[in-house]
Amino acid sequence: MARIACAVLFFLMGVSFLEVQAQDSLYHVVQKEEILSKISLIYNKRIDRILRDNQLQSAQLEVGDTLLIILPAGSKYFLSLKKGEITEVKSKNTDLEKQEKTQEKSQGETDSSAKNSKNAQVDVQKADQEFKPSESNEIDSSSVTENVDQPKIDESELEEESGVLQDNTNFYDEITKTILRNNHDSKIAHLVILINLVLLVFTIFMLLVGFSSRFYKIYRAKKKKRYSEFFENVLTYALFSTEEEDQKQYEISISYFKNERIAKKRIERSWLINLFILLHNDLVGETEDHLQKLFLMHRLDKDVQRNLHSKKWYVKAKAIHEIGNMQLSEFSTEIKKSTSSQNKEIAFKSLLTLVQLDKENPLAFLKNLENPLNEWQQLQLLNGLSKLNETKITFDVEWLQSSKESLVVFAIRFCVQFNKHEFISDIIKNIDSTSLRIQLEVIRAIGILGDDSNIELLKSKMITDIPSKKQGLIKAISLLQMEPDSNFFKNEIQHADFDTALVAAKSFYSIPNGIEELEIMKMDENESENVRSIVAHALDRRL
Amino acid sequence: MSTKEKILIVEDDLPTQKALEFRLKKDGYIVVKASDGLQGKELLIAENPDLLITDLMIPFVSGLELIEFAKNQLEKAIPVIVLSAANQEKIILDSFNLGADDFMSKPFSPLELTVRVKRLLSKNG
Repeated sequence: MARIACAVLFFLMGVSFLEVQAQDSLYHVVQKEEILSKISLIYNKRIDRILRDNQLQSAQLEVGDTLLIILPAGSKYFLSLKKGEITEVKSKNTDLEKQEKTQEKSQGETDSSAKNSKNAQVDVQKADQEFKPSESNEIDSSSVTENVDQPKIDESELEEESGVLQDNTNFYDEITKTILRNNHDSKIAHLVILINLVLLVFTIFMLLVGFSSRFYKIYRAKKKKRYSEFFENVLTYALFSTEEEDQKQYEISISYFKNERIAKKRIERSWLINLFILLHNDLVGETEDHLQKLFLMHRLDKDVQRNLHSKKWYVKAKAIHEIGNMQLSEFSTEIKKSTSSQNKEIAFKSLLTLVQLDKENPLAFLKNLENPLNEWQQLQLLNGLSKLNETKITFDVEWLQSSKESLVVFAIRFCVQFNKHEFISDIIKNIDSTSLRIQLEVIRAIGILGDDSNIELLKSKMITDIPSKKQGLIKAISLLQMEPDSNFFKNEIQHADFDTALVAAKSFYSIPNGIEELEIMKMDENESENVRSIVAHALDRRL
Repeated sequence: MSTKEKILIVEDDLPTQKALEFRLKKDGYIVVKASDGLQGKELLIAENPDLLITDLMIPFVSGLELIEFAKNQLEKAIPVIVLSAANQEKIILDSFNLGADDFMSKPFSPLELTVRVKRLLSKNG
């Protein structure tokens, strides 16, 4: 984002730079009593620049010297001009010219007038070509006039001179038009400059925001690392030090928690909570109990409670997770309320937390289950239950007879996870369920919890066109066979469905000398190309 | 004078690693630690530990590979305790098939771990 802004900015700056750098020039003819400083003031241009532009060594000027004045385009010089002023200047100049011409005529200075006249015409043309908008605070009529009225005219060539004057008048008209046109152009130039300035400020602001955010993140990461190391040290010491071994050290480490000295700021406390959760996930037994005591000692439950009332759903969900993890059963009532939250994440997280908190009957909520449990929720529930003492988890056989598909699937998975062999006959009752999902779960459960007396039942279900069901049956049979029947699997290798045939081939791994049998089949030219290819796949350990 | 036994902990979860280190040091062992499998492999060669405690799900080189390396490719086969949150039957069996001497599933009790460490070291010592 910042890079694009920079690129755009630099492009626009380049454009405006070209615009601003465009220069105009004019000629100034030095008049009587005119010195360089006065000229510099007229054009608002430094003396040294005028000297340099004209390659002059000294500031000594003589009347009639022509100076090249280079001015920036779109300058204030022209902006300050108005058409009326120019007209006035023009008329004044015309009068002056006439007077001068009369004087010059009487003085008889006619020698070089013709040449000068021609020079003037050249000057006028040159100036006409080169004279473009430039800036200054004021315009001096003489400076412009001088540029064209320098020539001294011979009396005999007055008519020609009047023609020159006419040219001069045209010249001023041209200047007026140019000024007005450039007045408009300079407004655009100013607008471009203004836009560029705004963009520049915006880009600088964006860069500042970007950099400061980056620096803040780095700073925070470093701070977090430093604090985490400190927390780990203090917590480890407090967890594993015992009063009997080193009473002084033990008291010091405990005092950190008693006086809430470890983490004071909210962010530091949240880092500390994360550390507690991380350790609590990995540790059980005495250490776990001790960890919980330290958590409460530091009053971190206050932070959890505050987050539980947060309006941000993710903060609330995190707090619920922390409550479940740290077994903060005092929040049970609030968690129960959250189970009816409109936010599905909050509602399920609350349910999961209730499972963790309710040690007597954690699965009580299944009785009133309204929404089906999806795969992810089932996985999380089973994972949450694995951390509980399984002997205290009450299993209700009615779940297996429920009309709710997800509840039956969950119940079967629960039996498999907690090795509930006693419910195998209730599970088998669902083998002809109308739901394929339930059928597959039943077959899998029979394979794990059943015995070889179930093999015939499984074989009877082999007449099916559903590949996933057939694969499940083959797997279950291979797990249950006490005296494996390799012919059964050999027949199944011939199956048209590749995956089913591969499952059958892989079942040879559970048969004594099964791998040798596969090797023979692979080399046997009597076997079809398809079978040999499937056997080769089954023998490939990488697969 | 008997030399202290050296234990290598390969665990990517730093707080757990620190807790283990502290607990084992308290029991008088020298503790070397690594946060990934690659570093663990290097330390197995360089430090020549007396026992390896490893997680299974670690970066770069898996815990199973590390067990295989510790059992078959070192001059002396060292005892290995596997510490993992993955408590699926297949994974546990794979660990034992590769030569792991003990398996503890997470969450674990540090006290129980130290007892197992002591037992394995005395058996191999």
